[in-house]
Amino acid sequence: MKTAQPAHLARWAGWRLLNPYLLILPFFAFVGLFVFWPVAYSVFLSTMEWKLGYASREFVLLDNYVKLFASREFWDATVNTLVYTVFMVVFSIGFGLLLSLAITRRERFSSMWQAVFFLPVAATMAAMAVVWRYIFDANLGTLNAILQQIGLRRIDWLNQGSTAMGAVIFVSVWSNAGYAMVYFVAGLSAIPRALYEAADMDGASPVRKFFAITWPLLSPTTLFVMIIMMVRALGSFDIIKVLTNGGPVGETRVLSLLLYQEAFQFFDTGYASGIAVVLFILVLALALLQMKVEKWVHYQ
Amino acid sequence: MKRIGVSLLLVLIALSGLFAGATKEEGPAGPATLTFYHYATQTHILYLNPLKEAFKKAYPNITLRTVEVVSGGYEALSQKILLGLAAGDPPDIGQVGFDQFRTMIDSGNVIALDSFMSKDPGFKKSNLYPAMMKLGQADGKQYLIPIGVSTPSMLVNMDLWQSVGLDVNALPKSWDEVRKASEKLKAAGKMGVLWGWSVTGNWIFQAMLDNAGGALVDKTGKKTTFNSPAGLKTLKYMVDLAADGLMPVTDQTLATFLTGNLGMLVDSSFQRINTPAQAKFKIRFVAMPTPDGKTPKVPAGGNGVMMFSKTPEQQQTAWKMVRWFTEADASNIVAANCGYLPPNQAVIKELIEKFGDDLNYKVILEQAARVTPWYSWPGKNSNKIAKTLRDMQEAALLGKIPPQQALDEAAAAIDGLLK
Repeated sequence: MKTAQPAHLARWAGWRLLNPYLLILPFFAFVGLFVFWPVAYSVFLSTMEWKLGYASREFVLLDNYVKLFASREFWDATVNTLVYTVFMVVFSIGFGLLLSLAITRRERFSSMWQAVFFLPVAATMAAMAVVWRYIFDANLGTLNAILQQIGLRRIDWLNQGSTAMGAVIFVSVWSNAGYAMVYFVAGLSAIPRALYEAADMDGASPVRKFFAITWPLLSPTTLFVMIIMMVRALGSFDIIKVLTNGGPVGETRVLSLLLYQEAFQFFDTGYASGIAVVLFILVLALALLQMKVEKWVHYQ
Repeated sequence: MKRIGVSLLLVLIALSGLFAGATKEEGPAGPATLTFYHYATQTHILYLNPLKEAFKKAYPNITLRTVEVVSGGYEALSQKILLGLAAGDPPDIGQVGFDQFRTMIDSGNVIALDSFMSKDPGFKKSNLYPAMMKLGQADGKQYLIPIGVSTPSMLVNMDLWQSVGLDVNALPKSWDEVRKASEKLKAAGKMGVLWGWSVTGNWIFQAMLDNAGGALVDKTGKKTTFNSPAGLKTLKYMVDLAADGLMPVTDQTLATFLTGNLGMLVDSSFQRINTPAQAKFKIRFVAMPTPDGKTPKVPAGGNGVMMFSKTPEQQQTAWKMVRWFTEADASNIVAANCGYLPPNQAVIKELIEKFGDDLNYKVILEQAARVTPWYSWPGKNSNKIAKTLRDMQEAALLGKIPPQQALDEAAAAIDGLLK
């Protein structure tokens, strides 16, 4: 369909060349302003020594990065980030998949169960984390009250290095498994029933059907969910901030929390921008790595 | 005769104007707007909202635009002010915690108040407690005027105290007495004491250290001294309490106390109104126990106001509000609505007379003239230093590191941050 053009513009040959670019200009202006500009400005700020609100700032080139890579806190936070990400992604995908398989097998109340398990995703995570903090609390917590009722000793879940990270991962999985489940339910419904019928005729067991049909045909969904979960894990902040604030003694401090503390607690904007740049590169590298995995994905 | 009458009338009118000018403070000549950043948690709006309303009534031609920070403590409030400064839209007046005021000064954006104080005949410095005014001074200048001051105090659960057979007329004054009472509470299956080490990370630690004869830094302010024998005595006392199961290691101080299973909590006198209102048991506020049971030194917690206005006209208008916070009206509102001590001496004296029988209030009011500065770390790393001290205590209390090593490592780290 041809669009109507003003007569004087229609005569101008350049208009036809310019027209498509003008149409996509608003999109690029938006993305440029709210995505590329902040990234570029963060890179710029990472080369400055600047405290938030201070009148003066000083160009220090790579000093913030040198300081960052020499910092034990940074490396501890990096290790914590990787541990948290791996466990959060694997368990969220695992539970999401199990839930979706269980739900799709039973058609009765399927929608209700989907809603039930999706609820944590829809809830405000900071508020939910406050509830979980009280559940895990050593002195006030429901969990310890139950343990005590059955004759077990109280555990200081959020103050012990051995349990704090586990508690944080548990709450993250609780809030994200429903998210993965929704995608897996959609993925499962797209698998042709005929494949299962043919397998039934060949006498395939349920386990064999899962590994020969379901899992390979779910691989595009799995890859997508994995990327989404990884991005969510690397950007996780609210749960950890509320549950442990990175404690005890930094044992659950991930890079996003370190970034927050440096930027908004210590007001060290230049140094925090350096952390943001490193985190950005880490996310980008992992996303690119996952693209390499795509060759194992089975598209129908 | 008629002429004389008219002349007299004119003189009377002129005089009435003169007296009105002398007795009633005029606001700015025309309408003006002030931007006020303040903290707005559920407990802080109890005194800040009435303060704002009263100020609007006193100065109807000043429109008050407020920016409220609802959570995150004084650090979040400072963050909001600094963000406003970075964005070129600073507040005229900001509420600032005492621990944050050096950060604000070092940012280079705060207006010193001395010239306003000396030029304004309506400002009566003698009305204010010198000890409280000192809390807002740095480098010989007055940068902050206190709104409300709190002191470290001990809250005792009297019902629990009585139920385990402790003497309600012999509340602990010394560290040893606290420990002994905690042992009795533990034996009854309850929690003993919680020294609020996590409250801002270093306030209670400083209070304990000061009373143990130590100090956070030397007189130059450039070298830490808390890894001294006094520092070790302080930290080891808490570590031993925790290790012996007499003190829970948690930052949920008030929530733990409100369960009714904790005998004693060392926290802020700011809780005087809010916590008893929430508790289902009787609470007594007593002076913070000291190593030897003597009257404690009490570093002041709380906050005040600082001026950030850029133009002389705005600064003049902002001064009206800063000065108003020092007056009896404002001090009465603060005293009536929270546990803070206001800076106005006359108001405190009236309150002591009025509430002499209220033991909880009396013990706090009596500390007004004795407050000492809560150390505000200088330089760009002040908040990082406070966090280092908090983490040091947490690591030692959780048994991850021996007390002396924790103190030495933190002292070395902070010395580096002070350079």
